[in-house]
Amino acid sequence: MNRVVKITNPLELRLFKGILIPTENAIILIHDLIIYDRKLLGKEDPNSIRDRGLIKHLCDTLMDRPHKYTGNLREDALYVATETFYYIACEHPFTEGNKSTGYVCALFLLNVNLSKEKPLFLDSAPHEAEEITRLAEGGKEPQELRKLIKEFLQKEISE
Amino acid sequence: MKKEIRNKKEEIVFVDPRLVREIMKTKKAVLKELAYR
Repeated sequence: MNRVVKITNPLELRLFKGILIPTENAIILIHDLIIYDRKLLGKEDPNSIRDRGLIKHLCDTLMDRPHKYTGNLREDALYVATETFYYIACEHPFTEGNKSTGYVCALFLLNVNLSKEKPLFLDSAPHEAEEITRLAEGGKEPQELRKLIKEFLQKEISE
Repeated sequence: MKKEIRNKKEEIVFVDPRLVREIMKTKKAVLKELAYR
């Protein structure tokens, strides 16, 4: 069932260890933006949440494992973006739009943490969607998958 | 306990959602492809 949404609300992030990390509200709002965009494409995907606990778990995990942060801005930003992509794109907290939401959330977090002025990223070819789909399908050990996701996101910021 | 709540409030940062829209515009082709998968 669709929720009523307001896509102009500000995104709420949390500052932890010098890095901006997502809140449940921010992730849900980005998902709403993805679903809203799909409506413009003529798609009727619902914006419903399949498992809110997964979103909460991601946000808690990012705060509960301080030893994962190195103090290196780029590394820490990649860690937060990778975990976010993993939990959303691979674990599917939403009914639809998980890959797109995971991808945009990860890019958004890299952007706010590494450059605060304008989008860092260049346009990319549609074939990138294939790589995102392959990562989201998983079929690998979580740590191996996280490594691949990190490599994928690293390419985005080194282009 | 009260201090903890106050600290948590101080750590919240609000970001304009237009940045997300700009990123989505930049990655329009990928997102369109993902929408049909």
